[in-house]
Amino acid sequence: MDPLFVALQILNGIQYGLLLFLIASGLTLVFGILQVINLAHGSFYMIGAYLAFWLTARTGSLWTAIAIGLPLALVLGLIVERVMIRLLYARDHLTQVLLTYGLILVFNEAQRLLFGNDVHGVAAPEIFAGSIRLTDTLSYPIYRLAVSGVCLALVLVMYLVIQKTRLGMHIRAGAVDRETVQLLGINIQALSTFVFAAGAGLAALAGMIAAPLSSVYPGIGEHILIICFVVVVIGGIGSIKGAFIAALLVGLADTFGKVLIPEFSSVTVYAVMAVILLWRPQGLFGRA
Amino acid sequence: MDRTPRLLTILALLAVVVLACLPQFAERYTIQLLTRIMTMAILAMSLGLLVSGVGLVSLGHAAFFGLGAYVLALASPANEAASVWWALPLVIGASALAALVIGALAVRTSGIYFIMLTLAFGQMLFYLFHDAKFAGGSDGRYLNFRPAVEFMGQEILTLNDRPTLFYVSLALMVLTYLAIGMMLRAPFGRAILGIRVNEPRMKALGYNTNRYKLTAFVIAGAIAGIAGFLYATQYRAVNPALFGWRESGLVLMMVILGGLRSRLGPVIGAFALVLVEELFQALTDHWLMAMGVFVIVVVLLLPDGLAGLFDRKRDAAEADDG
Amino acid sequence: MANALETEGLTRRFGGLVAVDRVNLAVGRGDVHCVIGPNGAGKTTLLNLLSGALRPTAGRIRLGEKDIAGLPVHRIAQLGLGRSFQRTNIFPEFTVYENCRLGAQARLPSSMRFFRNAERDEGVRERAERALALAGLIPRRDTRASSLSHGEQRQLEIGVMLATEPSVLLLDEPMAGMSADETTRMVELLRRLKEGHTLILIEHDMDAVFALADIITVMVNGAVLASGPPAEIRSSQAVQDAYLGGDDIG
Repeated sequence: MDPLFVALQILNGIQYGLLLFLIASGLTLVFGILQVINLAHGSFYMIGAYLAFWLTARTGSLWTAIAIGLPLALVLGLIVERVMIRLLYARDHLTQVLLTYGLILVFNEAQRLLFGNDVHGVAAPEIFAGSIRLTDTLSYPIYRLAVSGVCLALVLVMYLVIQKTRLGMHIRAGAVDRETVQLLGINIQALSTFVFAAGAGLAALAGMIAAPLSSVYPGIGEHILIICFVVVVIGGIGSIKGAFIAALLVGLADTFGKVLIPEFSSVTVYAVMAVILLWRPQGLFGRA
Repeated sequence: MDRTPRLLTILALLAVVVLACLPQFAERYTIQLLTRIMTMAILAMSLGLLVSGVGLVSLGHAAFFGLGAYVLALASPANEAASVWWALPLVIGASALAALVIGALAVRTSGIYFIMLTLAFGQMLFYLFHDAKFAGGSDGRYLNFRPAVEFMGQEILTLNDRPTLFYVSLALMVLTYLAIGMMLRAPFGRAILGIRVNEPRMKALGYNTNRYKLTAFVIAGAIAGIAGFLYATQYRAVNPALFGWRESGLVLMMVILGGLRSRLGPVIGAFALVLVEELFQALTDHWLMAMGVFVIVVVLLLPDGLAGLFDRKRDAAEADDG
Repeated sequence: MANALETEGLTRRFGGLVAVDRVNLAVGRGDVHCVIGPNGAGKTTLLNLLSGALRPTAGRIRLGEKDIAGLPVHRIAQLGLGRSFQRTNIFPEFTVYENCRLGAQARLPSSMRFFRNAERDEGVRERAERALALAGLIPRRDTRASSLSHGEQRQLEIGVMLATEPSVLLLDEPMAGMSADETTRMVELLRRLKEGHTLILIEHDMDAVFALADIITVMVNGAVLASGPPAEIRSSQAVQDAYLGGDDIG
């Protein structure tokens, strides 16, 4: 196989993986700190995508769409946490699963009500339009590079916040041992709200920047959600580092799966998960 | 530990009698609907065994249902009916085998991991059957001929006859209920109930808990396969959506709607949920949203499900226990 | 005749922390062997190592003739090692009798039986009844375990274990949280158990310890400080300094 082609696939895989990480990081932290299974996490991704579509159509620019849409998504995250998620903290997993399942149904139907069943495209911003010509036959879309760049920047910011700030320390501690953190006098409720809203915001942002790449249509939320579940399971619940490595792994596996075994490419990711779990049932960096 | 209130058991018996008489005077649509509900009841009972019996919340259980349906559709010859004598065991065997493979990986985990794992594997099967050309892709496949029930060359039952299929489903539903009850009263059932209540202690007593969890998972998968067989027989068509998380979530909803404390719970839940779905579909195009709200409301307001509504006496007794 | 239980250089590390430090233990058959020591001395960790809940970082454990280090918990239990827990670990939803029956059922070669009612097995019923009697809980047999008093629950804690008919019993603070009356009853229970069983006991109640023990092992900071008959321990200066002198006795 042409080494340039392989290199491009690796780039694609990394870009997909970085996007997955944005979404999965929120998911794994919500699991770890809030101890809540939130099936509706993918809905924030979908909300971001549809916001991008709607606002770009109205304002003509993806930038503006993100500038308006992101705060909207954050507020929505706050509302959902206050109204729904709070009810789930003390509950068992079954209740959480079903309640957030009901939420998905509501969100999905709301989306259908507002936007219908069609597939929608979203235009990438002008400066990123077009491709870099590499050879006679191969070129790489600039927007993909831009997406990777943005994701990397966000990853860096996340890293700095989590590793270098007190807030980050609280988050890390909370993900490992919620009770002790409370005993230390840290306001776990405020922390939980922040983590949830931030996770929702990141998922929505991912949906917004990914919209030009993969179109906007009903059901994208659930599709990406389940892949992110796989990421979290492989990486280990509560581990950001695990989520990062797992996301890249999944991104690459999926990309190469599509290239090497197109008929069964969707299964690749699950096969990888099965293999890793055979070896380590708690995930790469999860606590046993 | 079956906490089915007496009143409820009596009502259930009455319901079976009513159902048995129904085909004499009911409309075609009603018979079809009830057949589907009873198929769902079997599926829900199999999941109930896992959730209420062992304490395993599986979000991928519909996968075994879908697998059962697909195996019948794929294994049946294109131009004649399959014989139920080999088709049904084949379906059960396939579902059990899939449950064995998936379960072997999944039961080593617990809690959130288990839920996510079962969800992921369910989706994997969805994509497998959605992408594979031999399975008909996203359109699914047809079952050209319903399975034949013959003995010595003579047809003893025809599943093409709507009332007959109704009675077969009713019989299977009752049989499943009784069989699960028998299992729960036997040493196996005692063991898995113990595992649900306190797994670490069970290990300390000498039980190889993973083996029991896996066995329960396989049994549940096999029963789900039977439900799939019935579904494919009734509708003569299968599609990948049968495997998906939406279907799995609905089945889970039936179990909790009916109530976790009673063995009748899944059956009640199946009837209630499908009827509610029919109601909403008749009222509005956006019935999915109504379903979503319904799910949320039930989960929040009815922690013991519908069966729990019959159980006021028990609540009072427990209040004294303190 | 081999000792009931022996350990050689048993060690367990958690990262940099050495919770159990090269412990050598020899528990004779039929003995009541008490392990005492200040909080954090590693006693519960030791019990967890013996029962298989934790894997040793180093060292050997022998149950009779058999090496059991590294075996899974349920395997070790099947070999005749019973365990009761410091925090009551019963089946709250079930009755007292059903609790014991679960233990009794564990002795069946396999519980993979799907057809006959569990009540019909005479062997299981008898074992459960015997355990009930030994634990002194016959009058409460049909009460839900969650309704029992604390002392009765501690009795049930032991009763469930007894139903598996173990030969060696690991008891983690059986008298935790008990009133004086309850403690007396428990000491009686443990005395009854001496017959036909080997007991390894963690306890803080010094009166009970000195009343019951054949051998006492004192642990401090994960290591064995001293081990011997009660009289020897009581008169040991090192033990006085490290433990008995500082803390109140009983």
